[in-house]
Amino acid sequence: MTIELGHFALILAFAIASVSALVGLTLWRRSDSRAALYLQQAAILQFLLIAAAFAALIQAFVTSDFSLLLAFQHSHSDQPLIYRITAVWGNHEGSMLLWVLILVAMGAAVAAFGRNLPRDLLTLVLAFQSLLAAAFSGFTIFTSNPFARLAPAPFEGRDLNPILQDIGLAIHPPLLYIGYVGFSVCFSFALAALISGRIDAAWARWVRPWTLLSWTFLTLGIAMGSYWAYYELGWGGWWFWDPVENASFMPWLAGTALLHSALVMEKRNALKIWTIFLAIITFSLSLLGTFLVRSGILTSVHTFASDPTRGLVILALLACFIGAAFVLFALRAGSLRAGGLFAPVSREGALILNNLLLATATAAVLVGTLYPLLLDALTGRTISVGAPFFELTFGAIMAPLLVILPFGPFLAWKRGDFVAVAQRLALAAGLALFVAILFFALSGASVSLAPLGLLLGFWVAFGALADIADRARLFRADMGTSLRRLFGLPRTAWATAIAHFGIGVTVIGIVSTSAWESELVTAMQPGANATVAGYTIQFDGIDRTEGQNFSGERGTFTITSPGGGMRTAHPERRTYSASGMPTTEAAIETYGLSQLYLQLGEPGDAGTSVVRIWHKPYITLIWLGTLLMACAGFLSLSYRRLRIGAPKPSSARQEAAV
Amino acid sequence: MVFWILVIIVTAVACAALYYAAMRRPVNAAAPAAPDATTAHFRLQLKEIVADSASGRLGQAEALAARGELARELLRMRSEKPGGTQEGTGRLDRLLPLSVLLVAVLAFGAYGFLGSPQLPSLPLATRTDPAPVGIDLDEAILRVEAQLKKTPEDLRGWTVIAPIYKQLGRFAAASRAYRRIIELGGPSAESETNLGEALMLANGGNAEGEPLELFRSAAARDQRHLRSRYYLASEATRLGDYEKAVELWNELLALAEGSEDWVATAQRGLSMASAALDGDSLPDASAIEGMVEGLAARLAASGGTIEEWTRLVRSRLVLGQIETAQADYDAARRAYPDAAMRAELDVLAADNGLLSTEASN
Amino acid sequence: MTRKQKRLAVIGGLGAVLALAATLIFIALRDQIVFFYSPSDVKERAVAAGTAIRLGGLVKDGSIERIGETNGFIVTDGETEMAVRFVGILPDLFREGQGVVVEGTVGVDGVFAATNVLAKHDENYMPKEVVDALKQRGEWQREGGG
Repeated sequence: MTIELGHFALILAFAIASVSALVGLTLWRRSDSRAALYLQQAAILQFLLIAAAFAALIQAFVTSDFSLLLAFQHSHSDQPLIYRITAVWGNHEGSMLLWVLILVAMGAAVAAFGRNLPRDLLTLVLAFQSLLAAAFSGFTIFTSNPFARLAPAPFEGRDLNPILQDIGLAIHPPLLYIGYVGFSVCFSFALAALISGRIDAAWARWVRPWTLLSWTFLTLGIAMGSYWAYYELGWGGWWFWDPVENASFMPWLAGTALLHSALVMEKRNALKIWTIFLAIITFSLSLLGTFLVRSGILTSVHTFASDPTRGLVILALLACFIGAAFVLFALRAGSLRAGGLFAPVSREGALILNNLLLATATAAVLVGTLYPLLLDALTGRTISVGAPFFELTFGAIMAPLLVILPFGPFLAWKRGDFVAVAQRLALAAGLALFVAILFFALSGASVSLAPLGLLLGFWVAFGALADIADRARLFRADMGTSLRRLFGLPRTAWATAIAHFGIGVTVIGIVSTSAWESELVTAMQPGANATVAGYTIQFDGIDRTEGQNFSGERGTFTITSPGGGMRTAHPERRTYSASGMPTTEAAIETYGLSQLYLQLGEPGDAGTSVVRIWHKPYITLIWLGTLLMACAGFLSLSYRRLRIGAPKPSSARQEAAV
Repeated sequence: MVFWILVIIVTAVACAALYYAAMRRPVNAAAPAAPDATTAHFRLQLKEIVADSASGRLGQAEALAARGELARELLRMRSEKPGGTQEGTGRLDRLLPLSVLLVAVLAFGAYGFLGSPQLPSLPLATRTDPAPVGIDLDEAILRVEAQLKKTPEDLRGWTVIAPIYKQLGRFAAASRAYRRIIELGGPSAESETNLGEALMLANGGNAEGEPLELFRSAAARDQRHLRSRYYLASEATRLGDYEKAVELWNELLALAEGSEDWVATAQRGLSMASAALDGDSLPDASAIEGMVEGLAARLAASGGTIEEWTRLVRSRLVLGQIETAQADYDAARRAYPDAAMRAELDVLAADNGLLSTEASN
Repeated sequence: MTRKQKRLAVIGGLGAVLALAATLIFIALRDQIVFFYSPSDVKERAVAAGTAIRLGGLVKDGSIERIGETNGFIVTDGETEMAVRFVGILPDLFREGQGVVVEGTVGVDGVFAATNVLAKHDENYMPKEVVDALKQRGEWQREGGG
């Protein structure tokens, strides 16, 4: 009965969403608060009902109820509890419901925290959230219903794809979806602003927390996905420029641009049209990210929930939302008032350049992702646009962005003094140059672009430190004053510096891993030794291993590090009993910031095994940097002024002074 | 019944919550008339700023600047405010009951269309009927196997176990058993066909090599042997030797006494082979259809594993032959009455709208 | 500089950056894309040794041989066959008779030197490109035969 109750709850939520979207769009203009109250209540009801539906689905999976078609197709009673739960969203239908759940959760959050919004704006935002919820819950119910039943019920399920039987499935999709779907709030705000004409600094202030929240989760989601692919796929790579990856990366780039342009709008009441445009485009890219690959039009190594049969419906839905949003934008953008003026060299100028470069990078990724489709449609030739294209274009666009990045926080609003800023950054630049050269000399490699990349990474990192030091008057005031100032800095200042520092760290990780990675593929006899980057790896042999729902071979290797420490590593080859599918489990040993990555091949004659070993210097920096960025996001979110939407006083003072 | 009561309660609560949320007058409105929403919004913000500056979260200068900006914003809003937003207050009053009703109608309508309220939940732990058949069969096989180890000359034992192996999809074991039967009991058309079939199945349905030889020998041994002729005909069709195929299908059809199950399939095989023979260009689809017909012929004649039935139904669906798919599905249900074994097939059928006409269990 | 000139200068600057980026993307698209070929395409088009391509087809039955860490196998589209050499560990789902896409270059000896063998996390996976290529071969055969 719980399953059917869950099914009904989902349908009821769909009905409420459809009706309240209609009510909201008809009545938003009324200035009494009843329409808003109605929509707030509707948003909260939608959340409660979808949450109940999701809980019913989880319950069916946990109790191995194979009268639920979805559980039969993607679960097995032998699976450990955690994978029986994660199996709920390890497929198209279930992940759709998770997507909708997060969507309505965002709507409920707007309803709960949005009490201080003007009534008409709140009504419109909630109406658009409801419209999205209605469309996507409707899509779920009518084309991909997770509550489809099976009678008579089989006694055993078909097992979750073994690749997905990993803790990564528990973490990665929810994080990523919160990121994707969070931008729906920005999208609804943008449409509401276009319709109501309420586009001003206050609007930017209301939107910014949502942008920040989504951006932070998207950052975590992408980083987690990258690490998951790195250890689970066993190819030793952490980013493949695969369509799925690009699809998650594009909203991130656009979202980063939105984060910065909303800042300009909030502080200076400028860049309004552009910010609205970015809010629309970011969520459109999120939709594209969620659905393009599912539609089966593009193939990807990461696809696990593809369903080509429903591709057309998905694409039509996307076209409707994105198209309608842009039509509205085209109709109303002209009516916006121009914002404050500023000189080219100023904080605004730097942020515009940031936006320009980020938008170009997004476009480059988009072109690279869709070009094969286009060429196939036009000429029938099949091509693939691989890593070389993205590395060239994306690298070339990102390099100038990294060069100007440290200048941004130093420049004043309206009119900045470039020379003064350059002087204040000279120390950071010198330091970056010194460390990069030192690092390079010690590692002694001959890759041509690596030193430049390192230099950029260190420049960004030191530039962020210099920003904090400068604000605290470090070395210019006495120590006590500096420390007091340091702790008195607003959290947003810290957040900016930490996020920028994180970017520097990630860049350093990327450059050093790509430049100084070493790899060895060799057939080894038990007892044989191999040496990679100073590490000696001894192959001790292979034995059998049995898990709850798999069996396989487990290799044992003894690793002696250059420092003399000994460790044992166990890469595995598993066969999952229910599906008969083989997987490899790489063994990853972390030494400081670097990692040693062991992959076991098929056993050959006489106990020989092919082993692939990578040494990946400083690779963990890639993810540490993204973690820093996410921390900065949370830190900034915790700042109360941002949450209540109070204006920042300094800009007001500046305006008074001018 | 309990289910419907619960569903009605949930719907009623949700609709009531919606209705009363909108009917609720703003509780904290001290002013007699409902205050202008925009003013209310700014008042709220002002309150927060005051509270924040009182608790020290906002500095004096910051609070002052915030108030200043709020005031400017309010002035601008007031000057921009278009008149006449206070249109007839009755609209919401009229719309509200209607909207709540619409929610209930939509929900019950869609659920009535999509839901399966009669199906109970079936968590694995509460199910009392976990396929005793499977367990017994395994035990029986083990017993027979143990017995055959002791008395490998027991023809009857091998005869019992061979078709069970085949049924379970253990084709290699089945072919070993059939080979033993031929060794012990001497070759016959039937036993040779059985062995050929098992070998073919073990080889993924490919009859080239030994199976084909066995079928030929069986067909030669018995002029009226059906199954071996079936395989020969369908293999010829599959390999694209249409001239031979037409001849073989004709030969087979000549043996038909009336309207046996397999006749229709054989006729389809014949018409396809002759169509392919006549047409100067061979449409791609017919090669595939040939394979499908071959499979259908074999399953109709001698049965097969549930996987093969599933494959057949899937192929029919892919080819768009919905009616034949239904017929094959019915045949498969007759061949495998135990629902637990044909889970995949049932799912496939359900997905594609095939009917499970009789409630066989 | 008047306000108008300033604005023009800013817009000009932005335009220049965009134009530069567009050129870059265009050049990269021309030079950095990898074409997908079936073995017959490779033969017909006489793909030069050393050009990076993707080769797709079916792994021929019985063609896999392993000597230490070097794997050899044959990719076929039913018409033409091409030997492939790959040093490393083949993906979990790499099997005979299954579709495969390999990245690499045609060597001077005519053997395809693969740098990467692509497979997916799904049992029933057949790369879309391979399906298309095989279909195309079928078409070509029919036209040639008819």
